[in-house]
Amino acid sequence: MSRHKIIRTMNLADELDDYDGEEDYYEEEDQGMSPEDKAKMVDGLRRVREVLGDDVPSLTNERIEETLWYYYFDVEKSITYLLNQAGTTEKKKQKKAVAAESKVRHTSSPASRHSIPPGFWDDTPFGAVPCYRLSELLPPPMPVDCRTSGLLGGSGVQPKTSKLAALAKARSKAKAEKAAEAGAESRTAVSLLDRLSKKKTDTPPTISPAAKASTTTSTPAAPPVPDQLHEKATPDTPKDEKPIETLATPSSEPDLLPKAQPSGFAMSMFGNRISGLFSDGIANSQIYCSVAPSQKAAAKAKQGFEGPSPDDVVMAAQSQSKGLVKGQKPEKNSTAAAIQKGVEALKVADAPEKPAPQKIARKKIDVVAEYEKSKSRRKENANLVVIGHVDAGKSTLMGRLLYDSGVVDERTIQKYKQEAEKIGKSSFALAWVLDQTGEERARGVTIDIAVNAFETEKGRFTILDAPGHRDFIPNMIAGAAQADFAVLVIDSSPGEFEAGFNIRGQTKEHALLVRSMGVQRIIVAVNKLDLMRWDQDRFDEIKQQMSQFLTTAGFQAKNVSFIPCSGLTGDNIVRKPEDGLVPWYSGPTLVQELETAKPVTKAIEKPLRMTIADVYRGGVINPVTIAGRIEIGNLQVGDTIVVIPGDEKATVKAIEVDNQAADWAVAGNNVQLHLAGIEMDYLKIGDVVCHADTPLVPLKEFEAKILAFESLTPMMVDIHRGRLNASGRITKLVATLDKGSGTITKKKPRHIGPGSLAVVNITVTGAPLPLEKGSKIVLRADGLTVAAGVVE
Amino acid sequence: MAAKAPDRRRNNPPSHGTTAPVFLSTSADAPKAQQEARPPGEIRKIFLRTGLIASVTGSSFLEISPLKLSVSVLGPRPLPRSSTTPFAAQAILTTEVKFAPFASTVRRGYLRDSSERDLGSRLYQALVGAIRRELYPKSRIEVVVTILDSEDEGDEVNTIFMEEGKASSELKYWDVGRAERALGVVLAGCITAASAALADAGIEMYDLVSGGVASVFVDEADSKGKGKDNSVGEKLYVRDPPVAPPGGKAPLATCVIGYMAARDEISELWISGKLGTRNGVTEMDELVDEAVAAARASRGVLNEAAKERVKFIVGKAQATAGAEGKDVEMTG
Repeated sequence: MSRHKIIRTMNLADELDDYDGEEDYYEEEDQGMSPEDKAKMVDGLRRVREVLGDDVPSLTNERIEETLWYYYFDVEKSITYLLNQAGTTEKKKQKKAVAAESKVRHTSSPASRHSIPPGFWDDTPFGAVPCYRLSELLPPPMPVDCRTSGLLGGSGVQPKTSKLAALAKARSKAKAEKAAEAGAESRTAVSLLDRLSKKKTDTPPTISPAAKASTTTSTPAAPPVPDQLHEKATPDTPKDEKPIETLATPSSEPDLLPKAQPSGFAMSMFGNRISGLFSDGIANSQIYCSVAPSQKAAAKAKQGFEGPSPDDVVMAAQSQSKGLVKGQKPEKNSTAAAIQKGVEALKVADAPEKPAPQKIARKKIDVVAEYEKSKSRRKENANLVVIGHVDAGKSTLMGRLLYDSGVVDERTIQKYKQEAEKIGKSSFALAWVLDQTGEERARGVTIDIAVNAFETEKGRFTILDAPGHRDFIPNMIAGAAQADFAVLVIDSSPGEFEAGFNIRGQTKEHALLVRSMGVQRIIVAVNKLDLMRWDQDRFDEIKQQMSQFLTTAGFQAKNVSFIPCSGLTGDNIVRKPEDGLVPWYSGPTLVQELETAKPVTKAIEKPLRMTIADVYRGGVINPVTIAGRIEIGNLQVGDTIVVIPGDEKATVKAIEVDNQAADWAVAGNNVQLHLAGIEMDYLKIGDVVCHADTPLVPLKEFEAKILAFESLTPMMVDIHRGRLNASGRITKLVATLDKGSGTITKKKPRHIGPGSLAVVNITVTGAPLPLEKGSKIVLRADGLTVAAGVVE
Repeated sequence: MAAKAPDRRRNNPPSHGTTAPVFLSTSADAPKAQQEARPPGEIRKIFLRTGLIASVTGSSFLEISPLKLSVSVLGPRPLPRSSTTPFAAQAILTTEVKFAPFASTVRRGYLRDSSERDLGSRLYQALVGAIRRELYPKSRIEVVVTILDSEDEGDEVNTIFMEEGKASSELKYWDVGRAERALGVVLAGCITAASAALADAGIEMYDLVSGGVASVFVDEADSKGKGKDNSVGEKLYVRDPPVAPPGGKAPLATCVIGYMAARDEISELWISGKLGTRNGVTEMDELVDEAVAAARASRGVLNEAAKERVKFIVGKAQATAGAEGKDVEMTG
């Protein structure tokens, strides 16, 4: 049986029962006594009894046995010990009797301790024992060894006896001393210890009458070692004259002790505790003058703290000088009339109610003319949004695009490859170019739109990599709202295309969304064809199905193009595939196709509208910076803008277009605006920036023409407009329209079926939304896009 | 109103106001006159009180003008449970002596210097045997002495010549053992005060240890002819010696002892200087006897201090017990 089993089957209770405290061990010791020992014990007991007799009551057999065992059957030693013990107990008894007579309680003696009857303390309240019941503590008897053998070797003096004995001894020694003085002085002690032990013999005892009195009055049975707190503790035979004499005197004559009066310092430290004791010797007030804090003093002490602290004064002055305190005019002071005059001469205007926006040097530019002029030398900038079903390879495709067009260097890609391999996702390395956050990388899913730019010979492109996962559709809408055209990435591997293309797939939803956001041009990148061995049949199948769907979604056939490619290998993205790999395709690469895509003309002459995509601190010089894409209109440095909602005005201090400083920007530009005269708190992602003279009026309730994707009834919806999203409610279904002609087919319909065009009234639940006529909105409910449309 | 808002920039005063203590007369010059008049067999008057510091287990304050020192006793408190601290069957005693930076004419540093460490170890030696350490296993007792004022005991050469404005490196004959005398007085005071503090802390001891110091001087003339013949004149033994030797005398040696008067035992002995034998009696023994006498004298004050404190505590306890015991009476 293994040890484990023993432990497992062990009865713990039994085991614990066996151990019963120390008693057991003692029993074992007794049991350990051999038969010879026992015989010796009996013999020894008999012999002790013979000597001591049986009449001593305290001498029990057990005690004798114990003693015998202790001395290991040495009868003589045992008897001596027992006799000594008996003697002390006898003494104790006598003492007890005396004590009882004098009605002094000695509760510390063992006998009296045991004599407390049960229930003695019953009527005594806990914690408040009456005085008469308090016991008097006697000094504990010192161990015998302490006296005989001196501490640290000791002085070798004979153990001290009682005071009387000591006195007698001292007297006899004094006599001997006198005799010795007559003869030749013999000092033979050599060592210090000998000397110390000797000194009592060669010094005459001169004990004052007071000392005599004190010693004679002391009890004969005084403890051998004197009480520490008792002045009689001083040695019995003093060699020296005055100080020792004073030592032996009782405390009734304290002046003889070398006691000093406390100094002023000490008086101040001990305060009241000793001031009374020494008041007769030294006038207290002469040494230490402790003035009790009077009301007056308190008031005075407080006074210093009444006004503002010096720091406060300085800070107030500083803030005033900067003009940060609103509406505070300098007080007129007659004594400072001259200064006043001087100030007036400076013609400094009073601080206005609200600080005017910082003046920024402004030369009015005709932005539209400038734009037309620069068109020829500037490359066209286009935003493209990359959409598609989750895991279609959008990010990888764009990563490849950036890598092959030289935006991302080789080293970075190598680093990403290593890191991706480390977590077992080597195929995600290229996607990491755009998926920067840790969560995106860990999950292998794009969460927020990533913006990156690249340039070809013919144009500049800003990639908006939209998340494919349906949980992040709002982010995708935000990206799509800024896009000129879309790249729809389709996974061509078996089953994947079908998964993305079914009713819940994002291929369809994304396509519909970008169309409803106003994107007309779409490039379908049929991805992962390397997995299909560049199978033409598969490509054609996808092309056929997608063409059909996109046409129904509202894309014109001329605006849709299909490109077979592989993001992972990079074939047909920037470079042509190797010869013979795709013999059936001779069309353009993805980049070539992008270059041909002409961006739609922007309404640059209309009032400015720009949705804030990001608010951040652009540095020390530019504390407030906003980023976004100008949707409509134009903007130049020095313009006063207003942020809707909030109505906060600001001045454009500087403009950056694609990270290049610029004097102006037009619709379609991705810009960073450095603002002045506004706090960051007033700016929120999703707010709309307008010119101060043509502000947008936020709407609480509006009518919208929508294309329904799902069945609609009056219901709660989420309203998305770019970055902005808010909850609202379809309050009224106004009419359904004919898709082709736009004429009303039915007024006040009960519900709007999927795929039908309709006019509805929408109320915003919260604060009014910055929407206006023509704003494109997307309505979602329960995680699905239910409709898209424009505000009427 | 702004003035009523809490003032966070300043530490606000107590509501009742404060006043600084005012010392109307300095106590520095008074004791000097006493010092001069003192016979060689008499020690200076001692002021000793316990229970000065409330936050420690036991404390005492001692003045032997101009010496002022305070002793704190911390513990017995349990040793920290760690692998580095070994098991201690007896209480571990630590002693620390520190001169306040302002305690002497030459300003001292904040770190303990060699003389302070030396005093600490001597104090340890004086006390360690007297404490019943076996009663406090696995615990620590700390004795911390802070010297607030002392006679000039600093660096022998520097201090003296700084006082006199000279830059001589030569030691004067009467400066021999100057530091020992000064430190001896301090050590004796430390021992006495530490015993009082230990008693105040309620730590069990075999006996109170009192400190005593004595010096031996010879005539100046004799000191010059010393070494040729041993027939020097009468020696002057001075208990509790002053730092500056008495007029016309040259110092020979100084002895400091820690003495347990009730047991007649010496726990610490420190002798420095030159001593020989005279008439078959070693001078050292005589010097030790003088130191013992000095220690006995200070023992009286020590007893008084310990008793005073006990009376104070007992009186307080009885007052409270008497007040409480009257009204509470439970039956059944």
